[in-house]
Amino acid sequence: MTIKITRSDPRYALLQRSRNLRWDGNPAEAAAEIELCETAEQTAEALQRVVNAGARPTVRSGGHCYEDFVVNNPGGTILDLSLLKSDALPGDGNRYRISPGQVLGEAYISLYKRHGVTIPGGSCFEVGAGGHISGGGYGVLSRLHGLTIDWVSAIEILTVDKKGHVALRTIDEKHEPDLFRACRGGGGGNFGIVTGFLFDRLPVAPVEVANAHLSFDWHSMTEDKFTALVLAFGDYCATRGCEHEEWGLYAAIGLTHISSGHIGLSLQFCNPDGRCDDLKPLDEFLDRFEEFSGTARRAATPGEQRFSPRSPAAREQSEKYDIDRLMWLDATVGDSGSGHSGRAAYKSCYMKKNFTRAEAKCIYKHLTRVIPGVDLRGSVMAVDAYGGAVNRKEMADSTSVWQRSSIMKLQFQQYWEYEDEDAGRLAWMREFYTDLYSQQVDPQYAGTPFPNEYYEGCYINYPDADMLAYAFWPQLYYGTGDLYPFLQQVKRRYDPNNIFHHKMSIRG
Amino acid sequence: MTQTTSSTTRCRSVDNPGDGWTRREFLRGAAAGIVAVNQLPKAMGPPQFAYVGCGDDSLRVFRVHGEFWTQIQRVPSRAPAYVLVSPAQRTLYVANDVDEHEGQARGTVEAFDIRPEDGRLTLLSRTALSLSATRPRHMAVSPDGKLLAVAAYGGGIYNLVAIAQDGSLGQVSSIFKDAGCGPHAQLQASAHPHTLLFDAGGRHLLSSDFGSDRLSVFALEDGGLRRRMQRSTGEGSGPRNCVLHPSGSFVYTWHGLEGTLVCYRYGGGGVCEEIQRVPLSAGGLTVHPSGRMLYTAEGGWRIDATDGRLSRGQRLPAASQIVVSHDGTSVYFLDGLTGSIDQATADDRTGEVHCRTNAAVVDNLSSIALKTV
Repeated sequence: MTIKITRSDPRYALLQRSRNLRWDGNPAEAAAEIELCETAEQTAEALQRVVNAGARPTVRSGGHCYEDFVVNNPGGTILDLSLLKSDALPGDGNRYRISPGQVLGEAYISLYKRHGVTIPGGSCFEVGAGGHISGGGYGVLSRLHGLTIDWVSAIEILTVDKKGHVALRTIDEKHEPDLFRACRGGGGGNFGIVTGFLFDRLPVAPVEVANAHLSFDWHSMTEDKFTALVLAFGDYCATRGCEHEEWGLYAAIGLTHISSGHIGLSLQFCNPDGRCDDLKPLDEFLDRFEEFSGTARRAATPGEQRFSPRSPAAREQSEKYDIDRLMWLDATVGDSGSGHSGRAAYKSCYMKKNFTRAEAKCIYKHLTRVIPGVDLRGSVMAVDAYGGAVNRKEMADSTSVWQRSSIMKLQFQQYWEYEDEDAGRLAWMREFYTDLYSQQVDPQYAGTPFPNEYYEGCYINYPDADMLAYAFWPQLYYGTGDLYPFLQQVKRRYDPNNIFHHKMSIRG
Repeated sequence: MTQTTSSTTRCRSVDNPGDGWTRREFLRGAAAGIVAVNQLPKAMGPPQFAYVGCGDDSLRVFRVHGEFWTQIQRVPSRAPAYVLVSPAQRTLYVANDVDEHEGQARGTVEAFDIRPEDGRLTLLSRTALSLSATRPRHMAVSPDGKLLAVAAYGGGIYNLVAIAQDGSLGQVSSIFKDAGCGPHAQLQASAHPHTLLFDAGGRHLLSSDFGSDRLSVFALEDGGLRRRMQRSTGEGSGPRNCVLHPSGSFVYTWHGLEGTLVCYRYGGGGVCEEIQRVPLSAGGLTVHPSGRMLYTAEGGWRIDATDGRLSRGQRLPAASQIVVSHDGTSVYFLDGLTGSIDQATADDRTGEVHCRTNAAVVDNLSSIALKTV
C-alpha cells in the first residue's frame, strides 16, 4: 500500500510544498493528495488508480524542479517517489541500480562504499535521482566521465497505454530503443514514471580531489578588468580545457551582481587516474587569474558554492595557492547540498565558444546595474566549465541530449525571500538575459540562445517557463535537428493520452 | 455533407396556422417534460439576436428581424468553435478551439456580457483551461446557471468552471483527465470528448467521446466530476453529436465513423439499452422542444415520444449545425461550406418545418447561438 496523504493529514503541508517558494501557497494550484510509493508495484497500482479516477498524476522524486512541474496539479495527485530508494534488487545481477527516490548523495555513498564507482551527477546532495538523471544528469565529474545518462544501460519505466492501462517496461537499446533513447535526457514528466535506472558499468570514482576557491572583489572591478576575467575563464574552457589531461578540472565562476561584493571561482581537480599526484594543471589554471588579484576565501554567497570543503586531508600541495586535498567522497557529499529553499528563478545557456568582448560588456552592464528599490543580492550567473567527455559526439544519437559541442554551461540563478521582490528581480533577470541573447542571435530568435555558432540552446533540467513565450522553445531545449520530432513521436506512441504533462512537457 | 441548394425562395406558409395551442399553452404543457424550460426567462419569444462564431477569429452579432438578419457588431475571439447563450440570456460563452494559450498547452473559454437593449457583446473574462485541456469544442451550462462544463477535444479533458453572479468565468475548479482510444489509428489515437450535456436534473453530465468510442455519465460530487458509468458505442463507431430528448428518457447519438444514428434509453443517470439504430452519414443533431422531431444534417426524423423511436421525416437543408429557437417556431440551418444561414418556420407542436428563407451568409462560420428576450 502506498502512503496516501490528503489535505487533512498533518504531513500534507510539508509534502505538497515546493522547494521553490514561488510555486508555493496557491491553493487553486495545489494537488488534492500525495501518494508516497515505496516500490515499483505500488507505483503502478497508484498510477492506475489515478488514471481510472480521471485525475492527473504529477511525478516527483526529489522535488528540486526549478519550475512548478512537480508541484502544481490542481486537484490532482502527486506520486512521490522519494521513498522508492532500493539500490539493489534481486535479479539485478552485476548491474548497478539507482532508484528514483535516492538522492544523489545517497547514491554516491552507496555506489562508492559498495563498489568504488560513481555517476557523474550533480553536486547537490538532496537532489532526487529520478528527475536529475531523466534530464541528463550533469555534474562535477561530467568533464571527466560524461553525463549520467551516457552510462545508463536500461531503464524500468511505467507507461500508460492508449487504453489507459499501466504497464511496467524494462527498456534498453534492444527493447523499445526509441523510448529508451527518449528517456536518456528528454526530461522528466514526459513519458512515464521511471522506477529504476540500471548500469552495466560505471566509472571508478576518484580517490581524492583538489578543491580551490578564488574570490575577486567587485569593488576593485572595472569593465575592462571584468571583461578580461570573463574572457580568461572562457579562453581556458575553449582551448586548454579541451585537452584530455584537463578533463579532471571542473571549474565554475559565479558572476554575481555587484551588490554581492565579490565574484567567486570554485574548482575541483583530479588527474585522469582519479588521483592528485600532479597538480600542475591546477596551478596553470589558477595562474590565469593571478592578474585579477583573486584571494582564496571560504564563505560563499547562495548559488555560488557548488561543493563545500571539509577538513582537508592535506593543504598547500601547491606552493602558490591555497588548495585543499580532500577524499573524493568527503568533497562530494560534504555539501548539505539541499540548495536554497526560498524563492528562486533560473535560466540557462550552453556556449560553444568563449565569451565575446561584447557579451562580457553586456554581462558587466547588467551585473553592475543599480535599480532603485530592487535588491539584487543573491543573483549569480554561474559559468561552468563543460565539454570534455560530455562532447563525445556519438552520444548525441543514442541519448536525448544533443548538446555535445559546448565548452561552457551557464546557469543564471537568483534567490530571495519575499514575494514583494518578485517583480523587480524577475524583470531585471529577464532584461539581462534578453539583452545578452539579442546580440549574436538571428533577429527572429532574439532574446534566446537559439542554436547557432555560439550557442547550443538551454538545458531541460534548468527549465525556464519564460521560454514558452517563444514558439520555438522546443528547439532551444532539443535543438533544430530531428530530436524534438523524434521525442514527439515517442510521446504519441507511449503516452498517446498525454497522461504525463507539465508546462514544458513534450507535445505530441 | 449534402449539397446545399439556393434557399432564398420562400416556400409554403405554415399549415393550419390557427390550429390548437397558444404559445402559453405550449410552454405550460411542455414544462412537465422539459426541465430546461423552467430555467428560461418566463416570456420566451422568438430570437432577437444571433451570435455566430467565425473561423476568421471573430464573433459576429446579428439583430434578427424575422427572417432577415443585420450584422451589428464584430468582436475578436480566437477560433470560436462553439458559442452558447446562458440560460438567463445574459451571457455568451465561447469555446476557443486552440491548442496553445500564452505558450502553454491549454485552450480557453470566454464570457461576453450581452447588453440587453441592443445585444452587443463586451468581453467579461477569458479563462485558461487546465494544462493539456486543448481544443475545447463543446460546453454546457448547468441548469442553475452556476457552472460551465467544457469538453476539451484535443487533450481528452473535462473542465468545470464556476460562473460568477455577473456571468463572468472564474478559474477552472475541477478537472477530469480521460484516457482511451479507438481502432482508427489517426482519428482515435486518444480520448476526444466531443459533446457534453447536463441532463434534466442538472446533477449528471453526459458526454460522447469520439476518440474512445464511448458515452460516459459523470456525477457532480464535491464540486468535481466522478464517472458513474460508461458505455461502449462499439469499436470504431466514433460517437460525435449527442442530444437528450426533452423528456430526459432518450439520448440520440450520431456515430460519425460508423455512419449511424443510435437511440439509447437514458435514465437514473445512466445510458441504458440501445433502442434503435439507423444509417446516418452526417450529424448536426438537434431536438425540437416539442420532443417530436429530431433534426439532422440529412433531414428530419419524427420521434415517437413514448418509446423514442425514429421514423423518417422531412427533407431539410444541408447543415453543419442546426439550432431551434426556444419557442420552437424557428429553426436555423448553418452550412459551414457555403456560409449560409437559413431560417425556417417550424410548427411549435411538431417541429415540422414549413417555410425557409436565407437569413444571412457569413464566411467561415463555425457555430451559432440565439438570444431571446
